[in-house]
Amino acid sequence: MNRHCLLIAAILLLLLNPILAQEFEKINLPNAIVMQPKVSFDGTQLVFMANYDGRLKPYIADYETDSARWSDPVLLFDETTNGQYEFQYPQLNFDNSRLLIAAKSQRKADFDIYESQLANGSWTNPSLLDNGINSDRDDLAPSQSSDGKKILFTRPFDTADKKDDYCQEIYLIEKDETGQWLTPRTLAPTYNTGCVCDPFLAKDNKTFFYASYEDLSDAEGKRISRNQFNIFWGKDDGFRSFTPKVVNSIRTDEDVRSLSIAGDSTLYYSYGDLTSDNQRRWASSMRGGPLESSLKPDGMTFLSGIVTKSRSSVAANIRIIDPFTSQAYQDIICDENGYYQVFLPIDRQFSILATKEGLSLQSQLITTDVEEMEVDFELFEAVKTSFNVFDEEFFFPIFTIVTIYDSTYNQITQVGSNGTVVLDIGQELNVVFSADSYLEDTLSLPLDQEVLFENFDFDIVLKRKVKSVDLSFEDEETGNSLGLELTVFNVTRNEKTKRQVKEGKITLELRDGEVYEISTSAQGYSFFNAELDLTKEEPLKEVKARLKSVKNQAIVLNNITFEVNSYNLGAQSYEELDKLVTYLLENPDYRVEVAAHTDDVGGDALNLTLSNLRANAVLEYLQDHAITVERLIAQGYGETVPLFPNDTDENRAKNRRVEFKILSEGE
Amino acid sequence: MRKLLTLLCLLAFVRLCAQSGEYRKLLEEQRNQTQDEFFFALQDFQKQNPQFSNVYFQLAQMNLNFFSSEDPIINRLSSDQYIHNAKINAGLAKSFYDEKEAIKNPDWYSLPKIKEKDSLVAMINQKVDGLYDSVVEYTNRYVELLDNYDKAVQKYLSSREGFVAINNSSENLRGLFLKADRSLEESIDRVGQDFDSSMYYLNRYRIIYQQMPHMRKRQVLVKRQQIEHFRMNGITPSNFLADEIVVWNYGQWSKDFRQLLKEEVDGLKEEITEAYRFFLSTNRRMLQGEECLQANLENLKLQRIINLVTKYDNQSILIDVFYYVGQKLAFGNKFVYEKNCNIIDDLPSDDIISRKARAFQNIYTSWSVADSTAQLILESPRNQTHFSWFYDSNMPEGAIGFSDLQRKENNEAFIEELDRLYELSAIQNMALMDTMRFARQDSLFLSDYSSADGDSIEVYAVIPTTDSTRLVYGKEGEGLKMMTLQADQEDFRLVWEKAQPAPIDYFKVLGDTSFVAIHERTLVHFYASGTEKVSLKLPLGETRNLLYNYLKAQYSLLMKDAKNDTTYNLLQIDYRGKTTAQGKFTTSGEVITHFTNGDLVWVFTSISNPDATTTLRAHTFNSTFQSVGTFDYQLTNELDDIRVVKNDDQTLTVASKLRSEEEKYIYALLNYEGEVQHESVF
Repeated sequence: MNRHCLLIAAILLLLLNPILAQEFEKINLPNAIVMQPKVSFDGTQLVFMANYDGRLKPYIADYETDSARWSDPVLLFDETTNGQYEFQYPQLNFDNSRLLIAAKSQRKADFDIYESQLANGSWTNPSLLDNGINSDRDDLAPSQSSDGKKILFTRPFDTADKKDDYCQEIYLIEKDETGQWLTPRTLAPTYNTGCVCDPFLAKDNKTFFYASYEDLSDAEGKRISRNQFNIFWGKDDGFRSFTPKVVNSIRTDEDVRSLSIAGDSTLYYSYGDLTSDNQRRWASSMRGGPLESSLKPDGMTFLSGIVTKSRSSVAANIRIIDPFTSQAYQDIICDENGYYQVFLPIDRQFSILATKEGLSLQSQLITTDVEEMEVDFELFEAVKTSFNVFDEEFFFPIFTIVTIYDSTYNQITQVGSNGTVVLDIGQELNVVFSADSYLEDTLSLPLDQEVLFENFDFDIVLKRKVKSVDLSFEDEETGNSLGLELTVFNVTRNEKTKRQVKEGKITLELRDGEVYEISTSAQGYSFFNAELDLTKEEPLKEVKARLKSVKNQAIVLNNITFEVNSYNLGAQSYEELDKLVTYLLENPDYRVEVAAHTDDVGGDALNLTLSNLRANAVLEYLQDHAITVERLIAQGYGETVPLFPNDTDENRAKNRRVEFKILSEGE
Repeated sequence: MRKLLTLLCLLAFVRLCAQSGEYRKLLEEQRNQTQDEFFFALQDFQKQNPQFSNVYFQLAQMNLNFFSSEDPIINRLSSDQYIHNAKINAGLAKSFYDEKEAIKNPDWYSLPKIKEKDSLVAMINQKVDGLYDSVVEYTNRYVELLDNYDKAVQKYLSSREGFVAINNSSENLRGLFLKADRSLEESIDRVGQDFDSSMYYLNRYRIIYQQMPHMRKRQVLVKRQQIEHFRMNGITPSNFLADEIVVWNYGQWSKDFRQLLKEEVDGLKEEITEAYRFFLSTNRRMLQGEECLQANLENLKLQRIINLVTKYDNQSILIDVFYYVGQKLAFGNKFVYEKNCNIIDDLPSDDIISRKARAFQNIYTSWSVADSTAQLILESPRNQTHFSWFYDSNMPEGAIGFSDLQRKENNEAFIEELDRLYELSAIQNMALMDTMRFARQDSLFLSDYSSADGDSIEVYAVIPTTDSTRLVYGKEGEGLKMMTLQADQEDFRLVWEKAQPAPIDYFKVLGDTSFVAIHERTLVHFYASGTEKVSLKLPLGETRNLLYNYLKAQYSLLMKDAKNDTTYNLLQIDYRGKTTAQGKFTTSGEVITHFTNGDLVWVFTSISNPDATTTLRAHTFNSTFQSVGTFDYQLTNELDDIRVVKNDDQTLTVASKLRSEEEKYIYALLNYEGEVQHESVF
């Protein structure tokens, strides 16, 4: 079975070879040694060693999607740098912004692992990787995991009995939970079988590949490969180590080394025989090929995005957090274009957090349920905040002084409530709202915490201050307390309410700064009204009302005038008559008699007629103002019922009058 | 054979002894080893002695210890492996349990040597079985622990995600309230349900965690933070591995917010809809002429509704609509009252018409406010972007359509009342066509009334004197007659009749159910009963208006001079026919009427101007008819068929037809100082 698979794989490879050969035609130049290729995790870039100019130097090439070819290789470092170091084993990190490479400087006898950053399109001069990875032996072939927490690398055996200097041991250096690098340790003997090299950690951070120089037998024990390097698959999930397996799909009669994977299953590796090329043992080229599905690394989601602020890119920090443990899965810094990319285990949830000092902190919860995701962030340095302040009871807007303090109540600014204020992010603010006649309110704005939104529009409801006013009602004559219904009219707000007064006393909680009219029409008592002006500073605490009984008593209506010798009402009468209208509307059960009287000037009959007509004119006025005629009786008394002797003009004027008398209360 | 068997037994015994000895030594060396070294030593021993029970017991215990030292949430892989290994080893310890050896070595099970064998066996069994049982139980609980923890976090994340999405859907709370629908309510509920589920699972996790063997347990305390401000709170993530887990209380928020929605949105909907429907039904009833219907505007609390709408959307045209609603109801109240409640049955004397004019002025004031506020809706910069639920179910025509309809409705109502004012004026002067029109509407009047001798009467004018009686002026044969007819079931009964010597030139209803009729130079003042009060001879001239002073029993006449078309005479005569005052004036205009105001007599004339406007000129005279002065009232329209009515001592009403369009009315209010205070075309 294995043999059949191998045969099919070999045929496939032969068929694919011309295509694959074209893919590398700018790299696999005639007579050139191309070795140690490492494709980037995203498959867009390739770094490798080549001796195009006679000396092995690190190169980089880009994948050209249109032509499906790798571009012309470009030196990773300038000639000066290449002159200072002898390089080997370049590898790009997960977002292609960082390079690990083994290098030997002129000042040091052994290879160490160096790092270089991509800055403005160029790679910085290599600097020693300072995480405890380097030793006084050769430290080679670094392969960093896509989450940046592990590096596989190799060291040659230090014992003399190993026959080949390219036979190495694979080491692992990893970070602990706190993010500190631990001491490097060798991989389990399962993998370090004697002569291994070129480890590669796949992007799932668990699956790795390495080259091992050993004889191979098939399942039936028949030797299938002798004395050559083959690629092996291994997996370490942090607790369990899996038994290595040979990658048969790319096994040939030649040595295969330096495997790396683009995407899920496209393999890149170098091949060549071990015949000596003077001092160099490798005469290899690069090749691509498939990976059998059983050896594929776990699926990963490629997450990328751009962080901007007002459409400008921001080199923000991206933290990937496992929301189940609140632990950081990975930290990333966006490039100068605000771009970031990362590989995340598939079918999991992560919080993506974008931060930049002085800017808002933004996060998004994602589920890695697809192969590729894009999450962009728009950060901002300030929030636009508007405050709409309303009266709690009537909902009308209130102009308010808005004072903004920092967390220790140092005033930052003061604005009116009808505008928008721009508040810098980064500190907790306290906003105090104050308006005349209202109780203050405070709003805490935690702008030092995560701020998702750039615009805030707060509705603030302020409570009006109230003043207590004690009212008492008593009979004018007897002094007895009166139970009655009180009409409380808020003149300022045009709001009328009714209150029941028991035992002659009530305390009203009235809105400060507003004007009220209270009125009552206790049965059998005259109309009472009073203004309660709470706009004044001096406290109004008490009102004592003494009501006059109107039972069987005629009440004189003041200021009722008529045209001379006429029964046409003078317009100045209307104010007084309107009060009577209100009184009668308030007491719909009352029936009243309107009585008109004259002085003794003129004939009796004429005075009687005139008074009848005048009483009728008053009645008509009341009738015209929604008092139904059934409730009214007009009666002229002429000069028969004087209040005062008609002996002076003053008394005669007093006798010319209109009165009303309550005839019944709902009978 | 027996020897061989004995030898084999011996060898087995020796091997067993050697095995036990080696194992004892291994256990003793534990003191000098690290845990890992001891563990690997046990593993090596187990590989060599795969049926040695206690090594499994020890390995099970060690794996259980490893498991108990791990963080069960963070180190799931290793925890899972350790508890799995513990379970396998504990099972194997049971399977390979060797009672004899166990009795010999109770210290391997951390038990003292006891002479009582059965008790010891029982204790060892309890140890072995107990270890297995507890490991099995921990294995199961561990699955539950992780399940509940993951669900707790998952549900919290869902809750938070839902909360953020709701926050993201609107810049402010008002926006949310405005678009509150079933979908939003469901989203809010889901946030609360997820949070409650999360807390449920967290509690389960806490309980299970307490039952686990772990050495360093988290306290799993929960602190619920209140979400106070929209968009500002409830955003930051929570750490579920902290001893005190600080969570945003989405559950409470959900409940509070639903309650808030119920109070605010449902309250808003309810209040607005109720107020509007009340308006519609009241308005309908008012239009239908329901008797004395008066809307209680105080109960409606329209200002509160306007403030409420403003709070949510200060650009809503509903603000204008509800402001209008208040004004319309106030207009409706006035209108209905005057039309249906304040019924003035008296015949249209000058006093009654003045009173009507006053009432009409009140209606006009309300109409004017209602109309201008309806106009405000049309011109409003506000919009109907929000409150679609209101428009959909209550105002499908939209605010603009509503305003148009309302203005039309108000105008029609007003014109109807203006018609009545005109009608009264026509009846007062027995203007023939108008009274006939009234007669046609009068169900009591039978136009084909015939006299007792069977002659039919050609009716010129009809005036209702009471509910059941009509003063009729007409022609029977060749003779003119004035008569009163009384409705008698389906017929009419003649109450009285009087032949008229000549056609009536001037007729007027005076107060006190009396009338004056002038034909040729004779003035007859008579009562509704037909009784003649006064009959006087007048000078030559065409009577244009007559006033009667009850108090003084005086007639004041405005007459066109018989010789000069532009000269008019003012004449005051007493009931005996004696002239008590007289004066004259000339005017190029058309004389309309005259009346007294205080001590002065006012005569109104009209002048049509070339620019299609009208000047009303008031000539004022003192009590002896000496000219005092004139006032010119400039109106912007050209008036026709003009009525001028004294409302009171401050206002005059002008009602007329528009000369260019006879269907249209002009209504104007004047003061006594030459100023037109209002002028409207209907």
